[in-house]
Amino acid sequence: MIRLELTKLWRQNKIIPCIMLLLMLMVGSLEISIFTQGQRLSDAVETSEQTIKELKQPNPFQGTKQLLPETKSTISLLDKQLVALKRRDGTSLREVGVKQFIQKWPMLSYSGDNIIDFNLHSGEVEATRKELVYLQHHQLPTMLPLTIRTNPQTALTNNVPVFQDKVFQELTQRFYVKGWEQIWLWSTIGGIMIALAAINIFLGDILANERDSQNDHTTWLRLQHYGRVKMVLTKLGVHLVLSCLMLFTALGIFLVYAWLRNGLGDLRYPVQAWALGKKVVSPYLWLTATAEANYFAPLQITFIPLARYLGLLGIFGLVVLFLNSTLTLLINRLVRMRLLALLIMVALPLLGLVLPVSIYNPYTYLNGDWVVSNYLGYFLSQRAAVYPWVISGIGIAAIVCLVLALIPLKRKQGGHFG
Amino acid sequence: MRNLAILSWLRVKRRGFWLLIIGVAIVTGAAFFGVTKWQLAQENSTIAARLERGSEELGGQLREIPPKPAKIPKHMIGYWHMIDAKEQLLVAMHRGSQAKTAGNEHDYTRWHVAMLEASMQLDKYVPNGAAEFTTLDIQTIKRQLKRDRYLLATGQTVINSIYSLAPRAVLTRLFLFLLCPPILIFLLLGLNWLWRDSFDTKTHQFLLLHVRQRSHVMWENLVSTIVLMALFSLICGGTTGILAILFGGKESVAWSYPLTPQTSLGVQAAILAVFAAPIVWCLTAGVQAGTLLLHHISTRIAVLVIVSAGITFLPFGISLNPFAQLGYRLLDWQQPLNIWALVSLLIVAGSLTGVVNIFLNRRNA
Amino acid sequence: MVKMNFEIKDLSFAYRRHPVFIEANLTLMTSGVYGLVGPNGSGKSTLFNLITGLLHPTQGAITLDGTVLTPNLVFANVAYAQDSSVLYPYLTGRDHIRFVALQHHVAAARIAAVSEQLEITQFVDQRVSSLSQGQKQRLMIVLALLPEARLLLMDEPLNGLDPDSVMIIRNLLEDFKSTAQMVIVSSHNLDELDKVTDQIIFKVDQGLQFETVADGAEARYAELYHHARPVKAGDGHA
Repeated sequence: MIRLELTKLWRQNKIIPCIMLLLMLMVGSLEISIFTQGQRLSDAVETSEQTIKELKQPNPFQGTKQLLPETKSTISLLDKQLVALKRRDGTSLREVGVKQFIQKWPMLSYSGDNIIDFNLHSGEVEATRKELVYLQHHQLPTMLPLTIRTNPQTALTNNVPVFQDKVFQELTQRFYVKGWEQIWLWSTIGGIMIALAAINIFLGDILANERDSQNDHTTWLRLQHYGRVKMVLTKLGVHLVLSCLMLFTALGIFLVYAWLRNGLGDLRYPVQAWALGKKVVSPYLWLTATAEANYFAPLQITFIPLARYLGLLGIFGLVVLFLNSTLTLLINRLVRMRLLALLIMVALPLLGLVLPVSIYNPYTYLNGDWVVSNYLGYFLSQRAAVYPWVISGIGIAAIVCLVLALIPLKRKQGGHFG
Repeated sequence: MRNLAILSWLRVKRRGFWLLIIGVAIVTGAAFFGVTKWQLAQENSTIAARLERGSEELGGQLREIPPKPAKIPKHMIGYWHMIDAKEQLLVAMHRGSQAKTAGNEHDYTRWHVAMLEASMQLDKYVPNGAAEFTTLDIQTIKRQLKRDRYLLATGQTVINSIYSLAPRAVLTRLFLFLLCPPILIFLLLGLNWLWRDSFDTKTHQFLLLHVRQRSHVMWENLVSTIVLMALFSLICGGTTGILAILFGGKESVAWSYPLTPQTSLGVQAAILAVFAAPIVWCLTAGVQAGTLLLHHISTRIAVLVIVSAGITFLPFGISLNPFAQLGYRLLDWQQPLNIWALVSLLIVAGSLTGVVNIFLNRRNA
Repeated sequence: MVKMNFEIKDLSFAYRRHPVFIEANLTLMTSGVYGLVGPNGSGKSTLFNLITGLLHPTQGAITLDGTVLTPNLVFANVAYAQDSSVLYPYLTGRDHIRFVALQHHVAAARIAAVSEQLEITQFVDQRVSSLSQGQKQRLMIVLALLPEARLLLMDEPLNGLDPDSVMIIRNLLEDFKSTAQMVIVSSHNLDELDKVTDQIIFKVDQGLQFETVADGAEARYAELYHHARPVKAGDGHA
């Protein structure tokens, strides 16, 4: 039966095109990241040069043409930062960044007027400092360009003026141009949902295609002593295994491509996460600095290695794939038109990209980045990590779908799966 | 053609496809309304919170101000004007926030005007002084003030971003959603079921044998699909419209609502209406060609969605690319549609129809 | 018998790399009933599809009275009773008949007469999906008979028919002998074919061979395709 299923899917030309589609999306994402990073680095160089030029102008209020020693020191750091930026040297940029962020008034050469100290309120500056210290500790180069570490609250809490929008974007937008970093990026932008939609284009009708048009191919199978339960379970197994196989094959090929194109990156790279922690006393001088550093209290921003993040994300992805497989069977069971079943299964994951974030929105719990980084814990006002609970919840939902897909339906005449 | 149309109607009727269209249209319309309401509620609470935070900061600053002297020294007049402007701004932001929280859109519009006026005053004394509390720079303030005064004079309310539940606004955005190429192609894959049902089975041989010219089958299918899409849009729009009237809140938006200084909502909707039939024609031809060329339905869906999304969102030649015009407007509906993109749309649609005709005539059944 | 000129000239056609016809030729000069015989998968239906333009030959031409068959000419002159899978399963027999009748401007009286003749009136309002194979077959033949085309192609019309239906079709084919129509019937039921015609087109290798078989199609079939056919008891043969 499993062999028959695999043969059918192979003959229907589903496996290779699905892998190709996934691969195309992955490679496209990497190429866009590399392209936009190149553009942004040029912009950052330009803005830095402008900022340094302005700083070097003597202050008319001081009544002297000499620069103050603090200004000289700031300019010297900004100059170093500019050189590192021009050389695309992540290590030097990190070294300068650490020096900048252990000062009482941190500043990046392209950070605009007062954005860092006056316009950010939900722990961004503290997080950036911690990240830089982490990078320094592990002797890792920073991603290019050096940016402020933001979080989902930034969009709601910042009061960056409209005219500084572009500068703010330059200051915060990151570019994930290495292999492992791309997976991290996908988890933050709903990549799991897009991958599910792509898989479902090919496997979303795995059961419904048995009833294409007016034909019921399952009657033949039933004659071979393959009952409904056995058939659904076989289809589930094939769907799940193939989903994983196709996804990981595409991912494997992508990683080889990324390795050749721009490298895989370092698995020790720090990823922002939230965990229960002690109150932070900010080293910075502005009045609200400490309150802002403790914005998520009792949770605190912390950093975990990318390897751990990706491992947890992998397990999460597998559970979501299991849910997708059981949900596919359930929808295929309920919707008898093959095309409709297929379109529903493609549209369902994509719906997650447009629905607003809310505790009542089930897709909120499928946001891999939030679950793994435990931002969801803050969102749900929890002190403990929510990861195991979410994994269990998704698993239970998947089992419920499976049970519903297995329950026989009453039909007027015999029935297809009765 | 007439007989083919009657046959298509019989097929739609016998298969219950019309019921399915109505059902999906109602669900889509209701979902669109629901999601917009949800998004709007979140946006409104963010706006209220931002205003409240700005007014708190402002209040904090004003608390440290010494009492205003009875007789103001000459050199301090400017300073006290600035303080007055800040006080007005504080009141306007606080009241605006309260109005937003209570869902009183007319009050919010009034206070929004007051906030902009106070910001203008403040910016006279401190360049970009209001930006610290409102994030608005002087150009934005001037532009918004002109718009808001017009809205106030015509009894309309402010639309803050892309979400609004005023019937005219939500319907215009619904049609932008339906006509966004990757979404439309997805819809047409379903609505053009008649073509797929014939050409993915042997039944097309019955059709082809009983027509004088094969192109008749193609044209009839094109017209049927446009009619079905119109039916779908009407029901979808009707559902959203009724829900917006019943549960949409207190927003008032007229067709004259200025989306930009150059374009009103009515003009935007009219241009959209002009684009509707050609874009449906074009993408239906795409689906027809896809069905004739790509045997496997999954590959077909993947190719059609990716190609349409690619053409829509590639950042080249946006102004004359009709797909980009319609696609980007979904994300930024206040920008006007370039009517000249219609020319390229008609050329693409005509060419695609020609290609389908060639495929159909050369097809080995 | 009426003079007609149906000609297949140097016809070649292949499914990918599998050639079905290589420069096949056939000329039929008079109206009447002709049998088309060949083993399974030899290309009988393919020939009908080529005549009706559903398939395009890689080379050669098919003409009727000297004119190459175009879709327009096929519409006006050719009727094809093909495999019933071309019917829409969720439409009724009447839906199909109405469409064909309107397309070809067939009078209501003729519809009634043909429906009566093939005894389909009892099930004409049922959906095709609920019909038996024989009922579908009769419906297909009705649809092909309605336009009164000069050339009528019937692909395995006796498949799945009960004895009564076989008799109806046999009588129908007998009637065609005296009309101005040319009928080509493909069938594996050589006994039945023998009863209505002795003019047989054999599909041999990648060509067509037209013969008048005085001793019956079955014997000639065995000779052509090298089948040693078992002799049935009571056949009267040694």
